[in-house]
Amino acid sequence: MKKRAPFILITVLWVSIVAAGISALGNYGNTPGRAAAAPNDWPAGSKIQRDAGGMTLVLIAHPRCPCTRATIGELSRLMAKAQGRLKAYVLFIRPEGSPVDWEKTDLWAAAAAIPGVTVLVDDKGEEADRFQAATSGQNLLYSPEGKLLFSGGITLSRGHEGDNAGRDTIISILNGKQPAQNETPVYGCPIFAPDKEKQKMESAK
Amino acid sequence: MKQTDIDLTITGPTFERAEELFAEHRQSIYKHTDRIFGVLMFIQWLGGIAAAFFFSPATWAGPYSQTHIHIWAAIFLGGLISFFPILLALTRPGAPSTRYVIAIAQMLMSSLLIHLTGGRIETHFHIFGSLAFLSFYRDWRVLLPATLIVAADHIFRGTFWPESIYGVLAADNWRWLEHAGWVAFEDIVLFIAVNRSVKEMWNTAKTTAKIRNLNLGLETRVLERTLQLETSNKDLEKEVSERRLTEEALRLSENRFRSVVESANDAIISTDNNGQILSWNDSAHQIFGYGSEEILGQSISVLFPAVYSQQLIDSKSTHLLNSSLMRIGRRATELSGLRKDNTEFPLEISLSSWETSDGTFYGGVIRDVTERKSLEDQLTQQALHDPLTNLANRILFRDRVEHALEKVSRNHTLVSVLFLDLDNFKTINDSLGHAAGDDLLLSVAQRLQACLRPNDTAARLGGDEFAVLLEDTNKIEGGTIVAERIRDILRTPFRINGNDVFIRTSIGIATALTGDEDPAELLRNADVAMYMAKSRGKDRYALFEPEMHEAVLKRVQLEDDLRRALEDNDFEIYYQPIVDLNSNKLIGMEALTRWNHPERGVISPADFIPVAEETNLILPLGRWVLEEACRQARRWQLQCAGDEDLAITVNISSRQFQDDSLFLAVEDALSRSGLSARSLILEITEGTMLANTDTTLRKLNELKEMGVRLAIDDFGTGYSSLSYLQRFPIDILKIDKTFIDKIELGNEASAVTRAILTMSSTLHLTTIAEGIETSAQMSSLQTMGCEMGQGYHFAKPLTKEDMDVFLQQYSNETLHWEDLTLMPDEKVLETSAAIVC
Repeated sequence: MKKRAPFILITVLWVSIVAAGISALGNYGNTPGRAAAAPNDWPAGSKIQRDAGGMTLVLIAHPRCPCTRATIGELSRLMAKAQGRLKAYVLFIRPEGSPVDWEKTDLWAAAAAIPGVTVLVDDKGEEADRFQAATSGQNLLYSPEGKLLFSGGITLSRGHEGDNAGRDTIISILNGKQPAQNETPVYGCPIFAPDKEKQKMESAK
Repeated sequence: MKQTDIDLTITGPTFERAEELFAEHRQSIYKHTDRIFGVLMFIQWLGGIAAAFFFSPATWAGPYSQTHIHIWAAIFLGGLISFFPILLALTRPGAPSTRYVIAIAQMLMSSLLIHLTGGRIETHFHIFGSLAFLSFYRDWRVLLPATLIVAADHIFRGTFWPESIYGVLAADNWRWLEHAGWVAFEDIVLFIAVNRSVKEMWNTAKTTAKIRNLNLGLETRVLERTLQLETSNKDLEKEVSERRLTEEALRLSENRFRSVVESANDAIISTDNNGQILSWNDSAHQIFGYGSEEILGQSISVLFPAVYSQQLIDSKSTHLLNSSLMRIGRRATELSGLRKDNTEFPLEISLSSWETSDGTFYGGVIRDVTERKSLEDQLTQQALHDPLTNLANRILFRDRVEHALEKVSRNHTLVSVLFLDLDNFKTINDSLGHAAGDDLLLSVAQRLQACLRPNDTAARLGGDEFAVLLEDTNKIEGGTIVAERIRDILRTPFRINGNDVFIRTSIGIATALTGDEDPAELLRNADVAMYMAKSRGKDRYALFEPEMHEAVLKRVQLEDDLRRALEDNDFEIYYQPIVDLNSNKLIGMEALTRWNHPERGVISPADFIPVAEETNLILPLGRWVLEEACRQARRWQLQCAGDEDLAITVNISSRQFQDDSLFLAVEDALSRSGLSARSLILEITEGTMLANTDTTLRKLNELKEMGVRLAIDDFGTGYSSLSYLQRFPIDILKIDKTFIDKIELGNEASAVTRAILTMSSTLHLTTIAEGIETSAQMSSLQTMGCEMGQGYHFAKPLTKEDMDVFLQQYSNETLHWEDLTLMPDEKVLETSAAIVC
């Protein structure tokens, strides 16, 4: 037993380090981005054509954020379940100074392929600003009247597809049910550069 | 249990062996799987990094990006997860801890990959796949830490981030149960699978152990059998080696045998039991003329004349080589062989046989004895025939006589043996030479055969002796008839070397009347009869009479006495003076030999000289006479005041003259005595000179050159050839006493004497008259001109003592010859003491 003790110790140490690493990785994956302080009414300056006959979903996304891939996937499922009752816009941020078609990534193509989804370029993040979004994967659900019904992410952690509270909430709203919550954490990349984000944070204060 | 199933009930060592095999197999699986996992985990690590790059290459903040944390996690955390088990797989493969660490690491890696791939459902298969993979260890215990890690991970996540595992249903305990249930399901499935596999492994181990056990027994038996085989193999190799050596020795022996056979001068052949020829050497080819390619396989009977084949049939034998003609083991048998060209030849064959599993085989050594037979015939011919005349020799003749005698009583006939001796052959042989003598003998033999019947036998018994066997004669006169015929046919002169040679023969006849006679005795009787014929005057035949034996015995006795006399010095020389008829002066003396026989008294030369000549005793006798006469003559010369003219006359017989040592004998006698050659006169008869005149002339010349004087003795009694008187270096003619005896009668004898004297005078030869006994005879001779003489008128032959006295008287008193002729012997005896020359 004494002879095996060092080995066991090493093994335990090894497992512990690995577990810590995985835990850290899990912690990272489950840490949400900054939530949007979305306006309760549809912003007046928005260039997006809100659906007056139905609910409108606006998804703010960073075209190169790996976490947003899961959001697009969940959007696809959401749209499938909405069965035409939902008009969705995916706004892909194009930061200032970005080259032409910088936003035209596989995420763009995936989103564009989802029925009922309109993909738009949010040049310089102007629309994101209007909707007060900060994290890629931010969803905003507005009623036909332009009232904010839901704000949050539709993934349960960074880049993880699967059943999540955000999607279930939207479905519930679509189904006319009272959702348990109107907000969920958003797991994604920051939409704006850190300096701009810092500036917004300061102005928000 | 099925009949084909293996009974896996094992106990004892087999069970232990099965356990060993099982443990070995499992350990082998552990090690092998550890190594596979080591490799796969390394690949898996790289795959994780690739997945991280694929799913989350970077994280963005507006336009800015940075390496995604997943990349670092894949590299470092994935590396940390993989390094330890890989290290163990490399350093401690097969150790339980290694596979447990691998199981833990594999589950941790599943967790990491799920994180890296955004929790994709597909990535969760990694867990189940890994668990299935871990079952490769066939150790259900490995599943425990793996399951434990999964459980811990889920408990941890479920506690802190339940939604990350169970989604929106995190609060639902049944969902957790469901999740755990599937994992448990897989564990159970894998547990069952592993255990079944382990059980099969165990069965396999038991089967293998049993099989190995059986194999072991089998191998033991195989080993034992192998050892036996090796031993047998060694024995076999040894046997093969010995057989090779034997074969080599056999081959060498065969080669030697073949070499011997091929180099043998004899034909060496072998046949099978049917007489078919199986082997044939070169000598057989040479002897019979058949090449091996044409004779092999043929019957041996082709090598022998047909008469043998017929005998073979007659003897009812199946094989020529083992018939009555030739038998195995016999000494060499002589037969006739038949060559390819159908010529027969004598051969000698030795046989042998040997038995094999294939039957009896025969071997024959055949020798061509043609040469030997020819040689034997020659030897037989030489042994039984006279080489010169080719007549039968004494042996064959005696054999023929013996056979003839056997037929006498049976056929009631007579058998006669004629013994022939050529009367004067010795003289002819000595005078004409041996070659001429041989020619003569050959001619005689031919004439003999010519006058005989075919069934009569002529033989040469030696020298000039011949014999004739007359068989189947009906009367006793048959021998005399043939003897006369032979005598007549031999009287015809023979032409030898250009000369006509006359010979006479004496024949003795002995006839067998009863057949009981001894062959040797019959031949001896014929010999005796021949002797008698010869003693009766030669050139005649004589029938054997029993009393002839005595005469012959006397003759034989005489020969013996003669030999003894020569040894005992019983001979004495008498000297008869030779006188000059004109002056009555003594001029010499003739040496005359007398034999004082101790029993028979004085024997006349006429009696013993022929015997001495026939027995060759004349040579030593003549030499003694010559030496003694010369010595005595010289003594008398000295005694008589050195009268060198006093000569000594010595008679030389024909045999002496023919002898090549005569010259040396004369020379030696003169040398020893000191007598001058001029004082020696050699007397030779006419007959001696007539034979082989060339040789005679040569010898006479040699003697003449020496200085010796030569006289012809008894001139006028023989051939009296006048030619040789002129041809030969003769000094003196001695007129024979027969002419002197008749000289007083004045008849023809007187005329012959006168003629001889006249011829001598003409030829400047000195004459000596022999046998002068009276004064009248001396007067007549003086009147006729004869120069010298000798005889009783002057003196009888005197002993040397009497001669001493005689010379004393002659020297001192000048006696008249008449006074001296009176009983000289007595006078000598009376005066011997007083007279001194």
